[in-house]
Amino acid sequence: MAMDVVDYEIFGTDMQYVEVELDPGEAAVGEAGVMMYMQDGIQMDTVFGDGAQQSGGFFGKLLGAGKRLITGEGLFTTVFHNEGTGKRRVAFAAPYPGRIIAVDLSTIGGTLICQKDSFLCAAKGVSLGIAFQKKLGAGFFGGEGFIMQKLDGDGMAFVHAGGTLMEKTLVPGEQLRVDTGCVVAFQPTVDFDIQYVGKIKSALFGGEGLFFATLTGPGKVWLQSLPLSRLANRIVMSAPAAGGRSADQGSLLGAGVLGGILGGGDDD
Amino acid sequence: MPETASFAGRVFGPGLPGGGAAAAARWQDAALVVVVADGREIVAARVRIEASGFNAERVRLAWSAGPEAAGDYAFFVESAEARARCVASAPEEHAAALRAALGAQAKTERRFRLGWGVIGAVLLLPFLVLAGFALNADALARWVVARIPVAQEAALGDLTLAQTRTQMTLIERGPAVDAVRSIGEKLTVGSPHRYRWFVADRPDLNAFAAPGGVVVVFSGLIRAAKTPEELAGVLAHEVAHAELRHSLQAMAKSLGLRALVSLALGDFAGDRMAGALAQLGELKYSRDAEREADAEGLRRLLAAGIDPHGMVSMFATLARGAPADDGGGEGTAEERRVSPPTLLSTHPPTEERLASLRQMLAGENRQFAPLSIDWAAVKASLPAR
Repeated sequence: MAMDVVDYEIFGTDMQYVEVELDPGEAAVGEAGVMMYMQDGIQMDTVFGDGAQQSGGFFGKLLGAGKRLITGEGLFTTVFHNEGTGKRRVAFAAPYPGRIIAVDLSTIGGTLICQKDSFLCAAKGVSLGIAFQKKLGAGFFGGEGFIMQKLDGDGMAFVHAGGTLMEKTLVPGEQLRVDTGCVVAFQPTVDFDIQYVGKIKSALFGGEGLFFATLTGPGKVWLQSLPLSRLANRIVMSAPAAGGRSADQGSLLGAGVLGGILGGGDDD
Repeated sequence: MPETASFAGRVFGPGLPGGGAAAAARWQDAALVVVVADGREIVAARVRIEASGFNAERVRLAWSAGPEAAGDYAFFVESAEARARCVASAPEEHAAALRAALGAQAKTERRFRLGWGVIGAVLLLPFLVLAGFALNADALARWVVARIPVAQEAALGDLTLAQTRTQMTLIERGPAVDAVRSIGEKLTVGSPHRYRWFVADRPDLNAFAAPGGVVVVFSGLIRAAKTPEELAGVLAHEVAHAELRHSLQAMAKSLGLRALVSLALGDFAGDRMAGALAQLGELKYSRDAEREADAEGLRRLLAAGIDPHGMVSMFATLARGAPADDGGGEGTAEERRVSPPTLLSTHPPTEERLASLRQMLAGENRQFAPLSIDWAAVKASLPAR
């Protein structure tokens, strides 16, 4: 499968977008609805499935589309071809605050396992598949569910997640304990499992839940500091419409201006 | 060692890229020789073999570099093909460890399947119960109905009777009712039920037997019967329904089905589906019940010494002329829900049932004394149309 080599640039700090430069004849696939802008000469084409299998026939396409549906994405992906004569650019924006990471699949052995829903865009030829989490414990308590996404190929792939993204390289045998839900992506050589927090007191009152996710090296792992679900939870908790408090915590001491001043004073 | 015995994979370790480097490895006696893509060669004297990586789906060969070069190395066998080659060419002392690693992989896979199998079974359980019930509904309904006491059944009959009174005018005395009663009592000798006989002033060719021995004959049927024996045939059929507790069984079945369907499909989606399914069940049930009632009715006629040919000729009339003239049982759904169980008109005798009746009567050439009823007077006593 021929991969298209793409140049790219990531803009922004916490609400990023990635601009991909396509040579004439090159193409990129994007998640439906994430395209931000594109230059003249770029043709947009919506394909059923992930656009990786050019000659897979109808059933191949159907299967690809079905897999995408299971991972919670649209049935269609959009392929952006450069039909012009010079280099052209197309940009893809992350749908919520967070960071975009660029992964060169060829440097990690061709496969990346990532959280479902985290795929943003990739060079044409990268195939998007599903990877079932087969360890029952990790599936139930690992925070990522049973269905993960698998990116196969040897081009660039762009993945996004909430908050700040950290890439860590684990050496053989090195273990990282991670709060469940914070794992974004990892190399398939990394062992993803769960571990009981250890003490009943910590389990009940520690706020970290009953289990940690553990990642055991070797290989690269990507972690997010703020899973979208956590952000959404906080927003809903403080939304007045949902019964949250619109004022900050200082207002506990008094109403209005006084509370605001006292609250402001508490901050530093 | 021949070149074919080398297997592809990815090696991680000190001095190698963090994401690992493509490499090929081969066994050399008990040692593992790993050739990195850039030409470097790493020899591992003592390797530990485990299943590792995502889903434990890869074989990991790990070793320590020794005190001089800090850190551990790990080589992952990537493809299934490479794994087969690795296992095939492995030295004797590693064979057991490799088998254990493959066993661990298989165990993860098995547990995954088992887990989902259990979840699937739990989700499917209501449907399985439903299917089991649907397949054994007749037997179950019989079992339940056999445990309902006669007194309860009579109470149910009172209810039906009260409901019927609101819908039609019942004639409770007169020559027609007397005729029905005299025939009916011959047919129900020795029954545990206390039978009550009525004639309804309705033009339909119909009659029904409610639970607990409430039998209502429509005046249209009496008009259509040419002899008292023809009326006796229909009465025998209806009495058989009551004696065999068919309407109770149908009720038990439809109630049970409704409960189970709403259990399986939930309250909202279930309601409409349940209604449809239950009705379907009733329909099928009634067909069997009709055949059973025919045979039982015939038996009762013979036992009472009434000429059974009246039954055949009356059924022939019904089969031919049971048109949905005024919608006796073919009304709207609402009408059908409130109207009493009009078994006869919803299931008019078919040619098939007639044929089996004739077959049962084939060897019957006894002479029967005609019923001593002044049929013309009975007909004349009916309210004018």
